[in-house]
Amino acid sequence: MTIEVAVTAPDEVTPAGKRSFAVWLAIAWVAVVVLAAVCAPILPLRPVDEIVDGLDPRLAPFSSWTEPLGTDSIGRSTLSRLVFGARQSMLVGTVAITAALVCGLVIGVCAGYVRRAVDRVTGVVVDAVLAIPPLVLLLAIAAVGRRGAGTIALGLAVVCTPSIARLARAQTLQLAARPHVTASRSLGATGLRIVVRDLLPEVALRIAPYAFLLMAYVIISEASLNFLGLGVPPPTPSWGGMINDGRPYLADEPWLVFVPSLTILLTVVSFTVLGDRFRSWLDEREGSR
Amino acid sequence: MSPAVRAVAARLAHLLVVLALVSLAATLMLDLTPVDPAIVMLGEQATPEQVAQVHAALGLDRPFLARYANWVAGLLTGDFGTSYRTKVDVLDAILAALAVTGELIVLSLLVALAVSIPIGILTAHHRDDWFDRLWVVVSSALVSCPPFVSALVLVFVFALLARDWPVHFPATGWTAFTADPLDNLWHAALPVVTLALVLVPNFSRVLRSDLVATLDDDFVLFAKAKGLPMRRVLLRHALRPSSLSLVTVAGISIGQLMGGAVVVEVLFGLPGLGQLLVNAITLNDLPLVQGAVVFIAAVYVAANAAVDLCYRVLDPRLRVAHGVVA
Repeated sequence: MTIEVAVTAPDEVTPAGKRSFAVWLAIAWVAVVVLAAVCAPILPLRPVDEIVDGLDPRLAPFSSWTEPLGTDSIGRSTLSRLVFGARQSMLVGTVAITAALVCGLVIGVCAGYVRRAVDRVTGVVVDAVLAIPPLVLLLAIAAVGRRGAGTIALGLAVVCTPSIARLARAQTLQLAARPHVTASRSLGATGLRIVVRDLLPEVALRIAPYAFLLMAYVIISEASLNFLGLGVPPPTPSWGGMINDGRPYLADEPWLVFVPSLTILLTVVSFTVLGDRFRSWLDEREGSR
Repeated sequence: MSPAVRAVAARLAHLLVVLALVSLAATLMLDLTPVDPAIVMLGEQATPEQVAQVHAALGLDRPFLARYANWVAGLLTGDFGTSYRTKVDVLDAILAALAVTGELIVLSLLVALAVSIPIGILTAHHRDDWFDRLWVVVSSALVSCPPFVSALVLVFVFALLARDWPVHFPATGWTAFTADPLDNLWHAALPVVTLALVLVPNFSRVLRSDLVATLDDDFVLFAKAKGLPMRRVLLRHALRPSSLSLVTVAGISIGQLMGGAVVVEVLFGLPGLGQLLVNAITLNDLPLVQGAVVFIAAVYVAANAAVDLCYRVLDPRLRVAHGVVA
């Protein structure tokens, strides 16, 4: 569950044809989740807090036409809680990753291009952040801040930034030795111009696949925090919170736990597949030069 | 100074700077949190005089750097402070909890190695076989599975569905190893398997890729040409030079396990460090949170440094290369 795991490359290269089916499935699932998350307020769904009339609580999925995924432990609609949970998860993930990408890229590219003191200082700070296991750091930030989506997003951004900074620094070191950077410099371009025009766009493109892999990681972490009850306070729906709510009924109504679990699993797998595919596409592009 | 000593010294200096930053951040936590420790201790009805008294007693009225110096001096003499809530010594609480978390981590590392070494060897030896391909799919599914989901599946199958079977595991609870070793292992079984499942995909993949490279080496061809049985070639000749990355990954995964342990301990109701941390956060018991975070970071950083140094001992080539650079 660390970022390192998500970032290590699989050595096995499966043939492109076999892969594409999985990739299409992944794209389809991510599209469904993202669309549901974005359109949640305008979809014909029940309010997340409303107890469904005429249906028992803990109703199994596929046993009622009006509530296809059944009802939760106190009789609210599982489907609408799942959709608004997706909204929560995607929003927190997108904000956290955008923030981490911006900070990580700026720190990494500066450290890699300017070197010297900047590199030393950022190196130590990055190591200090990486010295705390990610989930523990996230818990510490949750302990300090107010319970809520903002604190989680901030915590995840802090957790993700160092690994992006490291990757960006390594890519910058490689790129800075390329002829076009030397050419810019000999034409009299300032350091700022070289960083902004020559380095940032290319480094950003090479880092982009990791955004997908980090998204997978962020979804797991956000769900873990909510599962531990240290995320968004109830009754706001979240995937991790739904699993926690369903836990007491695991023996007799296991779907309360396994419907949100399966949703998390599918989403995480899809983002990982997309990230891997994106990366091997970039590698091929790099190789064909 | 010899290059090796210098490398160790540089590593230690780096480690100290990192720990200093971590402890600084931990002190800062108190200033950043909106919750007043005095209110935590006295309750909402506390008078301003009482609050001021508690602040003075805790040293909260002193400047930040003085508090930091004081706290670090305490850490160095083993005084981590006292809990706001239970008034117990923080270090005592951490060490008691560490016994549980430590056992979980050691056992799950052992289980993960015991499972992934055979799988790594099998998939490397029968490359692109059906099992190798199947394992790619299984391990990527395992990697994507959050520990609390796999734990709940395990509880559902082996504790709840298995209620009527001759063998079933407890879903919650803990017995100290010293009280009843067998019952201890019984309670540790499902948590350990959950944690090991996080590690196995990574371990087996790393071993497989190193072993695949080694198996193409000339000395392996030579061993085969000598007529040695494949079993002996794999286990005695190829495994050791291929185990370096596995050692590194196993060392690094201690931090990963610390994180995973938080969720697993809460889920299975085990009195470990993770449970301690989550309870402390829920109760706003900051000295306990600070102590636990700094302690975990110290263990993690020390483990990483140890792995780094081990690596140089295990692979003589690295020592030479480093010697030239240094």
